[in-house]
Amino acid sequence: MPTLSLTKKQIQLLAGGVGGAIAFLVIIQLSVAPMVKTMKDNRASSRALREELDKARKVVGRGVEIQRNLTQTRADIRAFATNMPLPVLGNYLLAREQQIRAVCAPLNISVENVQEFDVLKVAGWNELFKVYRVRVVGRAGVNELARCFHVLQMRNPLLSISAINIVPLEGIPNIHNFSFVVGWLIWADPDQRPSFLEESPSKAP
Amino acid sequence: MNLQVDFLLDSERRSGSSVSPKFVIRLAAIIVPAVLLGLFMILSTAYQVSKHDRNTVEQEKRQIDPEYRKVINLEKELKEAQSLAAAIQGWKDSRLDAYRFLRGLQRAVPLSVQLTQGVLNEKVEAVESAVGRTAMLQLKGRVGGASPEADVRRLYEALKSEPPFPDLMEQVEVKRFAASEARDEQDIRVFDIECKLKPRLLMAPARPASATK
Repeated sequence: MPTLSLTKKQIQLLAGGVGGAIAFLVIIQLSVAPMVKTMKDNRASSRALREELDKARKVVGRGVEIQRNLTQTRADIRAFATNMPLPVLGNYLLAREQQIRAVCAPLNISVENVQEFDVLKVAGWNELFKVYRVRVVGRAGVNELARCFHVLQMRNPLLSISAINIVPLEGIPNIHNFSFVVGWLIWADPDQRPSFLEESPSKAP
Repeated sequence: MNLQVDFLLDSERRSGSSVSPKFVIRLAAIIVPAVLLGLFMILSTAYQVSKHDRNTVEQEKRQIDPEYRKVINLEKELKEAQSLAAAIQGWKDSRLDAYRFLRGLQRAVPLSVQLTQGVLNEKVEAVESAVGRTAMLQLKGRVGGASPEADVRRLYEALKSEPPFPDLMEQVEVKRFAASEARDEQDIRVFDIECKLKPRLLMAPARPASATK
């Protein structure tokens, strides 16, 4: 077996080489590797942030259009809301009865009775609304009754006739006993209706 | 025959190259650290650049964030307002035009037919996966003359095919056609007609989960 005889200088060189390699590995482990990892993280974060930033810029760019749409939609709702009666000291009936009688009187419709029918909560629909319904009982010809419906529905686009019952009168072919149920869309809780309805259109954002 | 004998030991051998191993080692001792240092500096620069990039993007994001949040809130408010407007519009569009309906009914009834009762009842209820208005119309009447059957059939046909009914009616059915039970009305026939109106939706039906994918 050949013997490995190294000079002192060679041993120093070898030791220096091994030491350098160890130092190199230590530097890689303690400094370079964390730096590479942080750099990768930084790049990934920058990429993600840039995507978010691009998305944010697009959203911000639509801001004016969104604002315009919001203003228009709120104006539409405000216009609709003028057809949704509000209670007077908790009472809906008085004003509704007055309205019905005002429509029926010029049409020669004899209204015998206007009374509250129910307040309908529509399950599965919008929680903000209910339907306030009254039953109207009287006597009239079918033509007059049709005209009455026309006027009521034309004056209020949110009013609907949900029941009609017509029974002829014995010996008077032109006049019938009738009853109908008419419903108004109302706020489920008038105090909790959207706050923008209180604002004037010019103040709306 | 040539015989070559090498008397040199391995340790006594010398390279024939003009570049001595000592010089190579010294050169390597300078070049390798220099290359490593160069690589380290490149890495360090790249690290600084990535850090700077990240800081810049973060700063830009911080600057745009308040405006972004404001627009996101506006968008949310718009969605709520649109949903509200759609609900009201749905209510408006789904109502029955009672004037047109009653006028149509007047036109549909032949002169020989006398309606003894007309009842329309509307409900607001679940229609499949949506909410809508459903209604039933019940007509009771008497008919005289030479061809009572033809007159009732004419009324039935009118309720199916004359405006405004084709848009409104889903089903029209003569439930009863019989002689009047009154003794003095032997030639009179009585009838009941029942009509089911098409449901009118208050809002668009909910899309199935698979459709949203």
